[in-house]
Amino acid sequence: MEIKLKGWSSEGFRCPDANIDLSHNNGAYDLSFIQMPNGTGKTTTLLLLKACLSGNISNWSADDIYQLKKKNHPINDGKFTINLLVNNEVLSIELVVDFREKEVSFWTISPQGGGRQRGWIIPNQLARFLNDEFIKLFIFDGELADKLLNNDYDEASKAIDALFQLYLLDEIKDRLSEYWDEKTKDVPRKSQQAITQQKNKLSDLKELKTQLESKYKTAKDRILKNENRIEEIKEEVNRRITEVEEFRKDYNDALSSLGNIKGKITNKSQLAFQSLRNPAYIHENITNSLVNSKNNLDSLKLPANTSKQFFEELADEEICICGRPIGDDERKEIINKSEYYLSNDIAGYLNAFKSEVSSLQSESFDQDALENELDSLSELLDERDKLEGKMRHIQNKLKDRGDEKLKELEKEQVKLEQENDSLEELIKKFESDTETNPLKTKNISIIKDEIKRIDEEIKIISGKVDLKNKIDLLQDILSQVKLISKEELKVKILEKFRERVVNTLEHNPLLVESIDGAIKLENQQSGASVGQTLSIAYCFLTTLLQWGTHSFPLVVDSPAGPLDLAVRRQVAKIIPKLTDQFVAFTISSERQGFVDDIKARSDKSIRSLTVLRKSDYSNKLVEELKPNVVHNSTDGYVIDDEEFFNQIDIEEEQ
Amino acid sequence: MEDISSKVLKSTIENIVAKHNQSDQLAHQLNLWLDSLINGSEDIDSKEDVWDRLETILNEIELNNGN
Repeated sequence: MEIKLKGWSSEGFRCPDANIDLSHNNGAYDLSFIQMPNGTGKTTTLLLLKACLSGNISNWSADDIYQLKKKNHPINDGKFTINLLVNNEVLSIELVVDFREKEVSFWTISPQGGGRQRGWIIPNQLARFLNDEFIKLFIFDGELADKLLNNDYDEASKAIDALFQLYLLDEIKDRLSEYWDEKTKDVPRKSQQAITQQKNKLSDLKELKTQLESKYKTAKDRILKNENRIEEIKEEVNRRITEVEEFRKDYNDALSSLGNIKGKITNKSQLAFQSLRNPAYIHENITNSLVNSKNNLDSLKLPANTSKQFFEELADEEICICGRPIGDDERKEIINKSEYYLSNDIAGYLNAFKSEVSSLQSESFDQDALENELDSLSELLDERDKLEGKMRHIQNKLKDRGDEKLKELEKEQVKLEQENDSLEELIKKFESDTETNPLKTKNISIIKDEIKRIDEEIKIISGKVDLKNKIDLLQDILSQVKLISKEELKVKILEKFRERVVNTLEHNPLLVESIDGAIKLENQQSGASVGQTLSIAYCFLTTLLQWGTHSFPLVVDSPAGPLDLAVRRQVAKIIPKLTDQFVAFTISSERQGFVDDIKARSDKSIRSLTVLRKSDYSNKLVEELKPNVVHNSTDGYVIDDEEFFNQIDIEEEQ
Repeated sequence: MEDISSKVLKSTIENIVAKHNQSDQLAHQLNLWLDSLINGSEDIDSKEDVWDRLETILNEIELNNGN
């Protein structure tokens, strides 16, 4: 990736409107010095350069945006354009500000990208370098130099991450965590230990279920056995009674009648139960209410002959049933009006209801049917009780005569019937115990449901545990890959970095010991000097910026500002060697020992521009210059004159 | 991917994956994805693409391979 900064233009911002052209021979000048007195807008220019490059203004507040506006000018818009040469192709990015609305928009201009397009539309291959982390490596901030050599920071390490995009490995780890959250958002988080607990609980429940089912079956079998024995006893009793001549006829008659009555009771019970299902039979008031409801529906003409579906289907047609075409407006109105009609299923339900209620009004409907059936049933039950009483009476007579066997049989029958009652109670518990705690209940269905639930939960959680283990393993692999590959890349960088240091700081090469979080110099217990720090920082950054086939510009604000003369000369020596393009924002005092020295030593192409804000003082200065070297804007001058650059002596804006 | 960093990343991934007793296919899938992310043909912020990639890669992981 080769990027050259061809220049920028600015309109409407706090810095003077200016067009800075750094183009040279189909590329850009190797060394460019933009001399701007303090207060001329260097900070604003750098801020806008970074914003255009990154397309990121997420940390700009509305107030920040307004603060960028040119002061005391009736201007509402601002436009800053950065012009780049990316792998020899022109690319411009515009940042447009509406100061009234405090809104910012980006535009991208590229012949390959189809001209001017709204948005920050950067090819992916370039975009990967235009993030805040990487931009700060080539739009250089003096603070970064200190941090690169300060053990309290890990800027050197981050710079390596940014160049080789090792941060992607961390981002994949983050995405894995998000993936896990997404996959488990509806599942309770359970550990392996919790699964073991659930499995133990499942085992207990299965054991309990087996026990209860066994008891249930035993009880059922026992009841059946008892019932068979009771039948045998009854037959034996009947046989014994009918052996006695004087009781035979009465007893047989009663027995036969009892069988008959029991059959009738069964039939009558079924009829009564069926009648109970019709609420109209329960009470006259219910019948009257139902009839009233039907009458109300009739008076409201409900359900209508036309249903909602009719209109919905009509709205899909091109022509209405009246022959007129159905347009969008008509279609919308038909759909709206269809809401006033009932749907087919509700209309069908109401029609069925009305038909049923009509039958209640017919002559064949007998309001007293249920009551009559219940009365008949009651009579049959009385009759059954009388017959059973009669038979017991005969049986008692025989017992009174000393039939011990009969007494024994009766005693056995009572005992079996009592046992069956208890067993029925127990079975009722197995079938419908209301205790809901699965470990306490006797209700087998509740236990079965709980077993199913836990089984399902274990299945789901076990699946998630596998997924979690896989995610943990992959995250572990990614961490190790990052750590090890970074160490290897650091070794390779360190080799090139040391080489660069030796080549550039010829007479006083510093020895670089290592790159951990920060750069560590050999024998530098008490920290490096300002000059050393800056020189090393430049060497390190340009090692990265010129890595492999990469070439990025190095843009620096006041590169020599904080340096004394000796250090300036030291740094000035190295700059031309370090990078394919060096762009510096300077003030006049940085010329001595720095700009002058660089220019004197370098055979590279050099651009020297001076930017001044318009004032009485600057107006006077430019009056003496040839018009073709002065580029005049609303509020500033860009002076393309080497002599002027070298002579002007303004530290602060006048 | 840059030549040197590409080689370093590729071989490191292969080594670490093998150390965890995982298949070559896992290393291959990871390298493919990183390649696409680094050369810009895929985007780490595209949830759908990322989910697909993660599922493919997670499917390649065999548990209980001495882990």
